[in-house]
Amino acid sequence: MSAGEPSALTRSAAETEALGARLAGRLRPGDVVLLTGEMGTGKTTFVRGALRALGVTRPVTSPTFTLGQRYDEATPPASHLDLHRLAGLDDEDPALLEDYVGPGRIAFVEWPRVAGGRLDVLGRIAARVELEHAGADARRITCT
Amino acid sequence: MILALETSCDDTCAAVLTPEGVIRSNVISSQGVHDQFGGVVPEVASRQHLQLVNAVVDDALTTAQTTLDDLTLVAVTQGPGLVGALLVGVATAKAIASVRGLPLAPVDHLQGHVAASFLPGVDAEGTGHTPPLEPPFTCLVASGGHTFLAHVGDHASFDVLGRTLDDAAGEAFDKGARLLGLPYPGGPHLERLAADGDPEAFGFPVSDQLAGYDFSFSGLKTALLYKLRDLSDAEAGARRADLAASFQRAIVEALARRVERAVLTTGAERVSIGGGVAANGALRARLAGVAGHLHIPPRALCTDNAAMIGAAARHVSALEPGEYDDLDAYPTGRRDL
Repeated sequence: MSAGEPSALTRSAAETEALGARLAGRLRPGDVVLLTGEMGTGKTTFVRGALRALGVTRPVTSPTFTLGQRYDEATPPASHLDLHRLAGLDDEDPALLEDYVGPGRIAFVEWPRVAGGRLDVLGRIAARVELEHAGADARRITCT
Repeated sequence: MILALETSCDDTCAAVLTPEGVIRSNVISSQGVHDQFGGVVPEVASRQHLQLVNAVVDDALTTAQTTLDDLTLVAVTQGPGLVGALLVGVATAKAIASVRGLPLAPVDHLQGHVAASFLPGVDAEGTGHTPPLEPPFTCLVASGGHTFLAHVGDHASFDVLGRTLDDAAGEAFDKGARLLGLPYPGGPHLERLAADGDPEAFGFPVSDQLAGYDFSFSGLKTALLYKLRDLSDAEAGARRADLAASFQRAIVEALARRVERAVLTTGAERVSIGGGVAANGALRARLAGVAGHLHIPPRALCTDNAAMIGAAARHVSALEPGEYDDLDAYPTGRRDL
């Protein structure tokens, strides 16, 4: 996943996690990583790998229900959001994202489309990760 | 009397219990406005709680044939949940307790789901009442946001034996239902569709490779997605009930096999269930006979409710007036699951 090969094929959840860990190695506080891909493509798996590389040892579970999980024990602190349920942020409290995205932490955002330009204001979009099904346990993961 | 409030997600709930823990009222106002979004929208939930909470408290007091004058304790869910939603309950509880000079018991939502078993249950037919369950027992809590298996050694705490490593069981129901084109919330719709299907028609994974008591459901939704892709549209349409039944069976088996493992390993004789998924009929039927005694809360005490918060509050150190002014809600687990 260097600049020369933005797209990779992973053959297992473990390989998807490893790819997430590689990306984590070049992230800085304030970075935002956007993840797109339909249900079951491994977005949370990818983020789990990245968070493990940032020092998180507890279970990295789906943030769908609570919208977001904070991992303050990570170095630097990190967040994991799933905005799938939000039709838009217009009706939401502007502070909703600020708990999770900001200069001191890394944020991984699934289904970021509804956030529009809000994420750019709160942090720096460091990577856009697109995950696609590639048959059985394989996934094509493109990082730009 | 104990007045309990619960507003952690999309149900605005208030209940009145006697100091001995007998339910006098248990009011649940489901907001319903979220179904169109396919899930709970946090800010919408907070606004709905604000609109509903006073009426729900009034309803709970009236149904219990009591008034604020009779209260001895106010209890409220402090977390985990949606912060904006929790704050409506916390602020309301603080206001009532403060004005009346009453102690306030902050309750952990998950402890509440466990404490639902301290209240009378129902028999296998779901009609006759069974007595409250006393610790020690093994408790499976499965909902849209949480799934864990715990040893309950006393009334005030529990030790987590295993938890989900990815999706919650209720979330698996919701996501599976979405793949099958069913409306939100997925659990009840999927269960109805599954009633006409063959649970053995498709072999979906039950994460048996996981040792111990942890759960994993993310591979299951992917398996359903692939199965739907493999089938022609016509066949997928014709076999939706079979797909739903087989998918439900996989969730139920994954949950039940961990419970069985716990019973065999720890020698637990008594098991209880809690959380919205515990309302699922297939799970209830599957768990019958797993342990010497299965405690089944009525469905209204499985999904989010305030009676369970009141039941838990009886065993929580309450804060005295002046001590709870700064009480705040917490969004994710204070208990590190």
